[in-house]
Amino acid sequence: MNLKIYDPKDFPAYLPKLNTLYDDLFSGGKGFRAKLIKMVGDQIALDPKSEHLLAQTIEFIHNASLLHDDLVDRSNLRRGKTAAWLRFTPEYAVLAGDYLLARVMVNLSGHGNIRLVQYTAEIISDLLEGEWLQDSLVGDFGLDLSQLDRVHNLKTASLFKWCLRAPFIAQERYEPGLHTGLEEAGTLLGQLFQRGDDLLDFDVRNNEGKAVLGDLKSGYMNSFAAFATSEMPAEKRAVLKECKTVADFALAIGGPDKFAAKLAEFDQKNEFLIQLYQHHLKNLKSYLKPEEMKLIDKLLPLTELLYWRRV
Amino acid sequence: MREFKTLSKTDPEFLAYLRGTFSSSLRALPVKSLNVSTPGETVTFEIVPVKDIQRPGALKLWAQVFRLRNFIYVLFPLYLILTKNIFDEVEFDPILAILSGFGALFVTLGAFLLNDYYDHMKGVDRIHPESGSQAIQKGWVTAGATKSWAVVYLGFGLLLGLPSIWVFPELLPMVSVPAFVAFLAWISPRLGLKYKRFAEIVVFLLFGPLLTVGYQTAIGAGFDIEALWIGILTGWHFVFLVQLKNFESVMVNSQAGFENTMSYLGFERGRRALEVIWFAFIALMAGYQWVYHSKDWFLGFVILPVIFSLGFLISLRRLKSPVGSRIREVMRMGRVGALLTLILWTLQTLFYWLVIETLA
Repeated sequence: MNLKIYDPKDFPAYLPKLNTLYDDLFSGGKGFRAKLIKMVGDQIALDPKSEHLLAQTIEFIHNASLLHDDLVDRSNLRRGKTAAWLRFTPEYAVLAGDYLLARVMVNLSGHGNIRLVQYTAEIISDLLEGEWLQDSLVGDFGLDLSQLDRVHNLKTASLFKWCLRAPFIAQERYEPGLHTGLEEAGTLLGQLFQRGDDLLDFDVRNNEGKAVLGDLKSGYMNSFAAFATSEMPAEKRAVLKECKTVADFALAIGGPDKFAAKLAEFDQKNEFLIQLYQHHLKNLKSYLKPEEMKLIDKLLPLTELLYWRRV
Repeated sequence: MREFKTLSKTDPEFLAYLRGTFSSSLRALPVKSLNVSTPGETVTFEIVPVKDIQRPGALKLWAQVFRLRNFIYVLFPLYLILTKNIFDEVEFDPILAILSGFGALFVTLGAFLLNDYYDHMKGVDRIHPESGSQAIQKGWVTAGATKSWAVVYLGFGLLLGLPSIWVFPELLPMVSVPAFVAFLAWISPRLGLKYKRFAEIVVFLLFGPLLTVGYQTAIGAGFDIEALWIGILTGWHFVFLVQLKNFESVMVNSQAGFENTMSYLGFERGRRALEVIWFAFIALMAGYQWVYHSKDWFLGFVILPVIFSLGFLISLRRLKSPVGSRIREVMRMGRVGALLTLILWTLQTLFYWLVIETLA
């Protein structure tokens, strides 16, 4: 499935640099969100055209957020390559992100389901609110996990919720119980993905070889940092920014044993979320048709991948 | 493996789970939801055996359930009214003073418990899990039991107030206001009355003029303007504390569609409003000191509260996020400044006690 093109008008060739920028952006990504759409769409027999549209929509929104996010965070690298704002210009990066969001609205409105357009616009708005809030938290080393959860719910989980709900909306299935369950399951999946991702920053289950302590060095407390330092006095937390390695961080919170204990506690806390996710999925059965039941089996093991990072 | 249960409002078991009456050996603890715009349509409970619930020691548990800390907002105005009458040598009935004082305390206790109950039933405590006494959220007590105690304490409070109402029937209109408020809270369809804009006017009246003037009347000291002044000050002080809390939750309240002045004003205008409310309190306090005390006290009550709140006011201006640790810290500074001002006021009354002792 070519996620870049849904409509022939998607990327006009006469615009300089536009196609180069997008080709660069779309290569190297795992396209997990599009795969999630396909997983849901296939199980509920969503028509291929709608499935293509939804898969493109989520990748466009996600990539638009990356273009803007890298510029806001002044990140030099994206997927191991020079970030778009550095390779091209900040102006092009902003415009390219805006263009993706505009294409989302053009293509979605062509589908004709106004509820889908409205829900997608809400999600984009949530995503931007999350980005805005996250930026306002840079340098706040006293953050706690519950506050961070609210930001991650807007910034990260919103897209996961969309992936689960949008295929049903595209089929004009609007049962409130179904959507409440999907909303809760999507929230938990997004939260678990974010927490798993935050652990990579501390070189935990970092099979992808992601650079470590990136968040902390840029003055941002991620979920594990907030959890692990929750008992530290405020004045001690301020020195966390000086940590150069994970070993420095472990030492700052009380040594390697303390780090291991906090990690075990964090995993246990997230195991609760995993069980809650499984509960919400099982509850969805009453809203699915008999031939759609496999969807639950497909969604259940996702936490293995997204939190535990087991492929 | 943990056990969860999700129920919708239309489910026949819904209320039994929410009230905690579905089982005597199990508790249903509502699970926090981040999807704040849809409170209460369905609720997911974690089912936990009562024996597995960790409770604090009895003293801490009851102090938390009854929120003893909040009693200061009732006790302090009553203390001010009593001392004022003693210093001014106004005659009052000590028996009625004790009865109606305890009556006010029990009514407040009942109202706080009822507040916890309705927050739980209306889903507010799933959106603000850190709110209220935490006793219901953590499974220490059931919502049903909380409501029963609330009714008992409210009834007991009213009973203790009856002698004063019997002797001074002019109290009846003042008692009927809280009763009317309770009725409004009862019939409020989605969230409590406190999540309506301008609910702070009700808060101001209940913890301010109605309390002080009501008590002044109940003890047989008769209406006077100073009691009204004191009520305006204590009510305004309480409103400031409520606004600090509402400002701290401005993001979540706005997302959840809770209507209060802070969610209406938003982050930028909200912090200006906090400054205005605080300076208005200092101005009212200064006015009170000018009229009823001396110029020295007037100066003290202008300068010291400003000093007490300087850190708060500066940090409030520097605040850049509606979430995070800083907003909590700044609001804590605001509460400390407000508390120090109450301590200053208490010291003033102690100074007068000392003068009376010396003169005697």
